[in-house]
Formats: sequence, C-alpha cells, structure tokens
Amino acid sequence: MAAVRRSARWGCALAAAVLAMPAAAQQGMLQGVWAMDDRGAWEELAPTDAAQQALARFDRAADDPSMRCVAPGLIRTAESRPPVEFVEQDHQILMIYESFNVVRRIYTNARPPPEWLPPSPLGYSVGAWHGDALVVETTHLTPHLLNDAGFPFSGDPAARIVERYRPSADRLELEFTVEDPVYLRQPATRTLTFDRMHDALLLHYACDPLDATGWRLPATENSLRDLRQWLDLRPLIPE
Amino acid sequence: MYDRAEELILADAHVVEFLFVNPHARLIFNWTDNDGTLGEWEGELSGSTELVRSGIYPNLVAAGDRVTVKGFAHRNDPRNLRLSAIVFPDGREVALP
Repeated sequence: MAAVRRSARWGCALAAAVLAMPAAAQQGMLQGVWAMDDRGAWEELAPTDAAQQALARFDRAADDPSMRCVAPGLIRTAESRPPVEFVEQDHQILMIYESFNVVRRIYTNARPPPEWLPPSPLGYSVGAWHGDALVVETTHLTPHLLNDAGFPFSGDPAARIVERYRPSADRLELEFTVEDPVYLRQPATRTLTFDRMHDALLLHYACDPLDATGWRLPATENSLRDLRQWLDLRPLIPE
Repeated sequence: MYDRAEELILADAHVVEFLFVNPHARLIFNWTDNDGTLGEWEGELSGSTELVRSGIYPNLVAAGDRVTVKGFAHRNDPRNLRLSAIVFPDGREVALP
C-alpha cells in the first residue's frame, strides 16, 4: 500500500515537473523533417445547415483553389501527406510544407497580431510550450476548405484553429482542432502522427495550373487555340 | 467525394495518357463497360511529388498500354475513379499512394 502511495506521489510529482518544465527543455524537439504516418480522421464533424448547403453547392473544379495550383488554407495544408520541415528559431518556428511549397510562421515570442492585419489562408499563429506540447492558436483566417469534398471553413472572426504538437525523439503527434461557429455545431478534431525523416530532402512542388485544372486541354498542334480556350473558361472560376 | 466502401476493378483498360502532375496526377484511359459501351475514364492519383517519393515515375504507363485499374468510384462522376492500384499483364501490381 505504501508502495502504491509512493508510486502515486511520484506520478503526481512527475506530472508537476513536466508541467513546470521550462520551454527551453522542449525547444529543438521539433527541429527537422517529419513524414506523415497516419492522417487520422475527423471526429465529430457536425455540419450546420449552412455547411450542408455549401457542401451541396460544391463544385471541385471551380471551388477548390488547389485545382488551380493555389495552396489550400491552413486546414488542408496541415493534413497534406508530403513531408513538413520545422525550423526552430528564438522568436518563431518556421514550418516548410513540401505541399505547394508553403512556408508558415508560428510566433513563439507572444507577439500579438497588429490591428491592421488582414486575414489570410494561413492566418496568424502564436505558439507556446505547455508541458510536452507546443500549443498553437491560429486566428485571422480567410474562408477555405476543410476537406476536398467541399466542407467549408468560414473564416469568421470567432473561428480559430488550435494545434497541439507533441514531439518525441522520432515520433510526432498532432492534435488538430477546428472551431467554427458558422459551419460546425461543435469543434472538430483529428489526430495525425508523423515519423522523423533522417537525411530528408524536401522536393520542389511543381504545379502548373494549365495541367492541374482538371479540364484536360486537348493535346493538339494548335497550342494558341488551346490557350485561348482555357482563357475563355477561366472567367467562370470564382475568385 | 470517392466511395471507399467498394473497390472497383476495371480489366483491360486502354491507357490514353498519364498526366504526371501536381496536385493530382491523372490516368486517362478507355474502358468498355459490361454493356459494351466504350468510354473515356479519368483516374485520379496522388500528386507527382508524392508519387516520386513512392518510386513511381512518369514511365509507369504509356499511351497504348493495356492494364487493369483498381480504384474507388466518384460519387457524382460515373467515369471517374480514385486509383488504388494498377495491374500489368504480367501480374505485377503497383499500389498507389
């Protein structure tokens, strides 16, 4: 019984020690390149009526910017399968996603967003270590897609994304939570895992809208006519 | 977008074109359905960058090749698949990421 009590006390002490662990003890754990192992799946993806209407209207060729080689917003970037590199610096963590060559900044110096900051597809991210997890909160997001089936993210000022990165030597777990009162009845979460890539090399993500649109350009000798045909179609795509 | 509950197997698909691009590579092929109707199909794959990481290159197939394609049906487009594998006449099967 005493041993059990001692064990429990040690567990509490250990937990307290971990919680009190200074940020410096965790810094550097993310540094390097990580390859996705398990993409996970959304739990509790509960659409509002407005989300269901948007889903019904979704036309991938026109409404998915990635089909025109435009990088998707934060949600789909974070779940992209190609590797991601973390570069830890004193004041920020850079995340370099191979997918669409996206570079993202997570400010770790508690720098508040300026009042004039416009929303963007990656938003404004602030991170801090809490125990063994880097907790990142992102706001100032523009509307984008939550998945390639057209589930929408509103970019509403009340919407935000919270990520919890828990790295160990060769393993990284990401708990990714989306809060969107416009399109989600409750926050949606998925858990992804990554393996550390040793001697990794990120590749350039070449993407040509003429190839990627999903409208196959006829392969003919008349490339000028084909280009004009594409330009005729382009105004149909909403910006 | 794709119904992953059931994998379709289309034997004797005639490759028209292999578009090795991001964000999604595409295999265009002709296939004759069970009613004898010949139609052009589009199979979507992962992007070319991810394919390269898996050891798959633009020379995987060429126009004129006859292969069996496996994949998941698009929910709205009856001639669109998310490809899961390609089987060659010699029985070699290449799983697609």
